[in-house]
Amino acid sequence: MRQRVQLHIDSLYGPLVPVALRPEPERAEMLRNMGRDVPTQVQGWGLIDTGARQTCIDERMAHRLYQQVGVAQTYTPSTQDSEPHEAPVYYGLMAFPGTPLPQIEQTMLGMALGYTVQGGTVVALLGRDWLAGLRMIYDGPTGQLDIYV
Amino acid sequence: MERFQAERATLNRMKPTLAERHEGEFAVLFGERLVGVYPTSREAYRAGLHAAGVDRPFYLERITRRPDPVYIAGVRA
Repeated sequence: MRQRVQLHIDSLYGPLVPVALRPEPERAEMLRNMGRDVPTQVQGWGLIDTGARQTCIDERMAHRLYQQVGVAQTYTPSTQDSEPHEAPVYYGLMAFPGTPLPQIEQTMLGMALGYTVQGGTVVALLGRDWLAGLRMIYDGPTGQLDIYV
Repeated sequence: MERFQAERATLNRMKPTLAERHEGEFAVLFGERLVGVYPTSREAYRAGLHAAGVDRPFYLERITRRPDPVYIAGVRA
């Protein structure tokens, strides 16, 4: 039986999920063993974005916490002349504190996010790669978001 | 010089051969050397980390015959 996560939706800001961006554990362990500082986690909001094929994270946070491992061709509404542009690809870990949602460890795209809503910063867009393993009910009239894990 | 230009060029040359047996898997390159091909991005990342160490960049890409652009509808980059 699936576990249900209930969250409140603000109609202005959309479906927000608490997230924590954390360094990849093996890299963190290697840094620790070398006596070096391990970047501390960053907490904020993840906005569920069914229009995003792949999960994205704020570029500035990604640069601090994660390791860039590639580049991807992307289209966004601001893409000019139907030409894709390149976005950095990072590898890292994302957890969902205060919820039973399983943490993810994968590649994510760096994007210009980092805007503040509801006392927190939107540091991630949770795309269809994340939703692929979940069932979600967005109930606008009641302002309730149910995610089944 | 664009980031990972050499790695991408190397992988593009290898892709037709790799895709025959490893479509959907993940390739890791350190410089122009293929470190290996792995079933998951997690295994690929860790192999890259052990090959390159924590300070030197390595390249990780899913092997597909036709890489699709990624559509991000809800964000202004």
